Amino acid sequence: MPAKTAYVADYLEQHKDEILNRWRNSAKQEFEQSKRLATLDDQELIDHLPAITEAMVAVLRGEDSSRISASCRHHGHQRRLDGFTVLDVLWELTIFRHVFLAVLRDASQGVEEAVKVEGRKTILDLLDLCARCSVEQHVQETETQRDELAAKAASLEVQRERFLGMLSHELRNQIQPILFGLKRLHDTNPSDQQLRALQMIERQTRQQAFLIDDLLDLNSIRFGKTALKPSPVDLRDCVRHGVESNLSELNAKALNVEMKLPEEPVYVRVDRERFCQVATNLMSNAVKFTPGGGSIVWRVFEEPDSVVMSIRDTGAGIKADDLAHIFDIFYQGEVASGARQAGLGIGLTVVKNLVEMHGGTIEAHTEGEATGAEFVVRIPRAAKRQESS
Amino acid sequence: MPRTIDEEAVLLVDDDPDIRESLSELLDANGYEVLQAENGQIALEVLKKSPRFPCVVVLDLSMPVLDGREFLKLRASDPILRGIPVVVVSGSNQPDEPLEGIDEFLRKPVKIERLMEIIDQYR
Repeated sequence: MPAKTAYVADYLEQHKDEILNRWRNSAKQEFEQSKRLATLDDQELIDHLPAITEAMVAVLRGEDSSRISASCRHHGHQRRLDGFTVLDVLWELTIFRHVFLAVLRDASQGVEEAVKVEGRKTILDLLDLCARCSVEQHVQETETQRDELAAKAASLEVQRERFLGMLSHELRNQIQPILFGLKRLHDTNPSDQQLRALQMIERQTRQQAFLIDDLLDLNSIRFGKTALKPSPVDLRDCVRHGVESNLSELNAKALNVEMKLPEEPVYVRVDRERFCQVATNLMSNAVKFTPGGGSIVWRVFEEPDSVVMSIRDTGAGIKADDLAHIFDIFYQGEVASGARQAGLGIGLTVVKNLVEMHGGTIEAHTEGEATGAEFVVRIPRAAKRQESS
Repeated sequence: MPRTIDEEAVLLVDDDPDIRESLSELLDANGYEVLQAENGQIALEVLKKSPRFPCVVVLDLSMPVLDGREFLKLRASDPILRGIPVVVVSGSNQPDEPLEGIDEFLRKPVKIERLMEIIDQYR
């Protein structure tokens, strides 16, 4: 480059201190534009200016522009470490522009018009280059960091999945031989007393299996790993399944169960296995909170826009304070006796998540303590459903 | 000489000795002869040596040496073994990609009555 712009370089070199002062004053005027700029002290403010000014001088004397790129990249890198956002960097560069254009105006006094025009063009191009390089560096580093963090998160997610897979496998595997062993004992003509003990062990073991399933299901639902396989399902089948799955507990507490089901099938498009699980969990909840000799009533019926499945018990009911939290994970209201019931308090959370995945709703009703509770599940006939995730 | 299928025999493949023992006793009480293997490799050896084939293989998936999935692949490539029905009983959920040529997938813990009902179908 012919050193037509050398006059600007000369001026810049001769007025270095003045440039710093202009820079400081101009920056103060723009403080309100950038929170980060407003917190800069004088030293930070002029940290990189000398380097950039020197690079500018060299380029204006005819050196190629790589020196400017390099010092502006360094500037972008440093400002990111200083906690500047991209916008802060841009505001700082705006100030930069004010200062250099003012310098150019002063330096150009008495300079021939054609030379002035070329000087102006050159310096504007260089200022653009400064802005581009600083911002580019900042953005590149931010993106690299984001990608690294995303990769780390993904790898942690894989580890978590693997761990849960192993855990569930181990827990389920250990329950299996216990159940087989119980069956063997069952077949050896046990006395009544022995039989009752066997039934108790089996009940508790199955309960444990349910618990494991709930916990793992909840995990996969919450992390979007559960894909629904919808097909036309008769809700009456789900209710029957729910009752059968809880049969040993029902008998142990001598509860009456009434299934008020229509004579015709009530079809709705849901994931069969998941809806059976909804019914099983609702049933298990009702059984848990209903005292011996109490009753549980299931209903399935149709409304104009939805299909409804409801369960009502004569159990402990729900306190008004608890009603809002009943579907929260690990939440268990205090039952009338003050004793906590077995379980983790996740069954209803699983139910709510599954129902909502199908585009449905669940409501809990109670008249108050010791008056029983009712859960009502509504599935819209033609809802948008999340068929897979 | 081609081997025939023994309608009373079941091959039980599971790495957990407690499961093998307890389920063997239950099958035995139901009139089955039980062959046992602690992994897929041993299951293949048992099938090779046994004078007659079992009527069904009850297969765990996660096992050391040769797991259930690999066992199924090798079975699928063998024209004779391919004919023996396999019921998978696994502690894991049914995988998204289908398992080669299985007849049933049951998740542990499985109810013994349900398992017996299925095994009886192959008798």
